[in-house]
Amino acid sequence: MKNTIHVERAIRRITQADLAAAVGVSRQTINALEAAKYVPSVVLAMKIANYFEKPVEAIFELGEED
Amino acid sequence: METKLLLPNRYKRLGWFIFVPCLILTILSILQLTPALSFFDDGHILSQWTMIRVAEKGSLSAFLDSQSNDIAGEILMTLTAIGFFFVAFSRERTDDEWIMKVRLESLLWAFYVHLGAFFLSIWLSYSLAFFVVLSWNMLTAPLVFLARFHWIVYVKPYLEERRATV
Repeated sequence: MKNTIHVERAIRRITQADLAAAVGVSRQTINALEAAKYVPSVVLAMKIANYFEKPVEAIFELGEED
Repeated sequence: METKLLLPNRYKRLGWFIFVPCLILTILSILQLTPALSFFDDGHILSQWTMIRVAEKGSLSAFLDSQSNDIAGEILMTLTAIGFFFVAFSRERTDDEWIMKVRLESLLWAFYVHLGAFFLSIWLSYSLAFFVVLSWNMLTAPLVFLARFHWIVYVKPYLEERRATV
């Protein structure tokens, strides 16, 4: 699963910690997501998408191995 | 995100305070460095408080075939286990799905390493040495779990960030 969280964060100029607090997870979780080491649950993916005010598909995309 | 089946976060610190000293004492007493630390033998300094008279209790003596039994070892191992339970199974400050995933993965790792060590001990040791290795192997699963969990959740991200900023 690929995602554009890092880009979206850069556009809004917020840190991993800010995003983590906004969606109610730990900073390490955002770190793992950006490094593509973790595929989030649908709930977390939707919370992140809601936060950036975009549809889920705009931020999360299937990778080749999925 | 609410994670079930875990203790509140405040137990974690309490757990470290119990687990670390008790673990050190357990290791030292298994090593039997000094009589004072040999909690599993009679005759260390705590014995006068921790010795219970089994014979007076009647029926228990049939199981323990001794007039008295020193429960210092029992107390120590119970505290070690409780300390581990508090450290391993209390929530992190912000506990979430990724941390839960790392937690479960680490449990799997711990079980694999424990089993591996168990198979090795079956084939490479026998008689009394086998039981000594078994008693050491008791510690493998808890220690592998704690090491792997804290490595992935705290140490590795910290090291990667430090490398990224240099």
